[in-house]
Amino acid sequence: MTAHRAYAAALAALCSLPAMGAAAQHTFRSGVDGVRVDALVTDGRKPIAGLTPADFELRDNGVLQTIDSAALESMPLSLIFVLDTSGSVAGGKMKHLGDAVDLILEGLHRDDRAALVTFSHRIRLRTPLMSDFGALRRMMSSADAAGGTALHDAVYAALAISDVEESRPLLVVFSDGLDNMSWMSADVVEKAARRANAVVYGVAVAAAMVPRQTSTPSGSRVELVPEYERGQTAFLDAIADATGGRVLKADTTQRLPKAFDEILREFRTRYVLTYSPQRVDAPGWHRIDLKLKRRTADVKARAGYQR
Amino acid sequence: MRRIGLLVLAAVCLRAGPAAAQQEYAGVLLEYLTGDSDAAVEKVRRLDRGEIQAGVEAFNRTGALQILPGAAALHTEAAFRFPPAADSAFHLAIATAIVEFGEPTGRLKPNSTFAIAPQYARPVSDDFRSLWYCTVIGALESTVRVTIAIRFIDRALAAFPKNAELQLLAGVAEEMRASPRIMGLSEGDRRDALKAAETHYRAALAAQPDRLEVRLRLARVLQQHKDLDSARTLLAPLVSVNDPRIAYLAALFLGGVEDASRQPDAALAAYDQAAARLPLAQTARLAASELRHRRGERQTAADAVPAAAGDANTFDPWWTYVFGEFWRGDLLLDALRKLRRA
Repeated sequence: MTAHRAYAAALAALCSLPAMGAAAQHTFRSGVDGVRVDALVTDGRKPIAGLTPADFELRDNGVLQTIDSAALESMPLSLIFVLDTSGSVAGGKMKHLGDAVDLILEGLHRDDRAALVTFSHRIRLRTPLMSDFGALRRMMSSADAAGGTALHDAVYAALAISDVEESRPLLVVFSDGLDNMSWMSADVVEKAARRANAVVYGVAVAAAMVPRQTSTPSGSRVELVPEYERGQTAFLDAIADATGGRVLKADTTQRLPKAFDEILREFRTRYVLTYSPQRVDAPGWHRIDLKLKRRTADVKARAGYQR
Repeated sequence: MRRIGLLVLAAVCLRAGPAAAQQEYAGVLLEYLTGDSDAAVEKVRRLDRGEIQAGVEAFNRTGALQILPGAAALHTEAAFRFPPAADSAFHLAIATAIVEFGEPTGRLKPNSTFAIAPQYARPVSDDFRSLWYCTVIGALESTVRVTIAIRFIDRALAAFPKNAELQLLAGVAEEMRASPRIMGLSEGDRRDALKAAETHYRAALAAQPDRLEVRLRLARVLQQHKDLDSARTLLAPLVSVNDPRIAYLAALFLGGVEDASRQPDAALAAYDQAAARLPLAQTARLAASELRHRRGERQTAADAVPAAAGDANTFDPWWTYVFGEFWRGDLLLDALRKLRRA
């Protein structure tokens, strides 16, 4: 077999998985009258419940706005998995990833929808947003892992398809390494994330677990500690910051199910605020500053929006 | 061919050492030179190091000098044909010792577990040697063994400084070093590597002005140097060449140049042109989608994703651009085989 044919065969093998689910792809027009801000409000790590619009202070480009609504779970969820299936994830790691997907799907409601994007050097939209979670599970279980890592391009693709949704888009992005295949730079995709409505949660695992000797009063012991590559989570951190999400370091793929479960639970505690921008008509980037009026809290929300 | 076969057999008869191993090796080499070469390559991969060493040693002690380049070709194929050989480095070392006979780099290290000390060998022909360098360097680049490739490049360019193919491969190696997809160089080292790549590509272009691959790669390097006008000048004619791979990459890179020049309409036109040239490639479609998303055309941007990331989108030249001219690897190995069998 020639190398060229072998390469083509390898690519073909990577891409010979079953066809995309037959469910129709729904598309919605994005809301244009108001701005939606998905916000996580916590005291330490504990979510703060029972807040109303009157509890929030929101500024759009520095101009105080009137919040129309602040609700928990008022809209169905559009969950898009963006999962690294590059060569480094082959083997048992794929099983852990599949378990994590299963767990989060079990927590979805009937009117929620989910989509599956996988990436190696190639981006694959394996299922569009749909409520047939069984089809998504089947696609996940048939996915194999090989090739490079086009993380940036994959995140952009997921942002694009999430951005015409009227429901709450949530991207769960998993990667175990650095991008080495994308056309788009990190900066370009970060800007796309700033324009988009989705909240991005990243999940990273360490490149390796390395032994480290520690001294304790009762003697020394050796423990395994996670070792992340330099800059490994920089892109995910930037995307999460831009969209009001966060990055979870799961350390190992065995802990992926727990991390995915934590994301869904946390997302369910977020508020969806809406407001109609007043006295801020200028086109371009609008910075959003959000905080509570009468108490101190950690508030995570998108950094702004493009008008 | 018959004559070569007789020489091989004669060589074996003249040997000293482990006869069975030498005969086994001689049989494989004879099959490579006169029979089923593919089968011979598979067989030599199954021989152990001792058998190979004994076989090569036997030929070293005979006057059958023309056999050794054949052995070099055989071991080069054993090192690089797909699927990858477990003992690739050993086969490459054997081939290198033969091709670079008489030079310090061609001698195996004193502490090596085996030794090749030809008594009568002489350097291979320049034609064979330059082709061998191109084959080896191209194969090393396509398997991302850049550091080793550069060692061969240094020796190859010392021998053939005006060889366009070698200059192209040298440029590819520097481009690979500069790529964050391959190596994590500092920004300064990365700039230096790109500058070196530009120098090699310009030398290649001087030797072979009509080589499209060199024009494409030089343009890409210039684009990264922010010399956008020069990059545009090189790329514009390439988007309409017959080779769809070159045309696609040229249009994709031109889109990047126009985007960096803040010409979104021209960038979009270039990305769409790339997508039209290779409709199943995904990178140009995603790049166009991102540009439309930036312009606020969100529905159009979203609609482009399923068409870019579906089951049919199985090949994109961008995925392999950084690995050099991998698709030519087998062509070069074929040429090497042909040169030894002619």
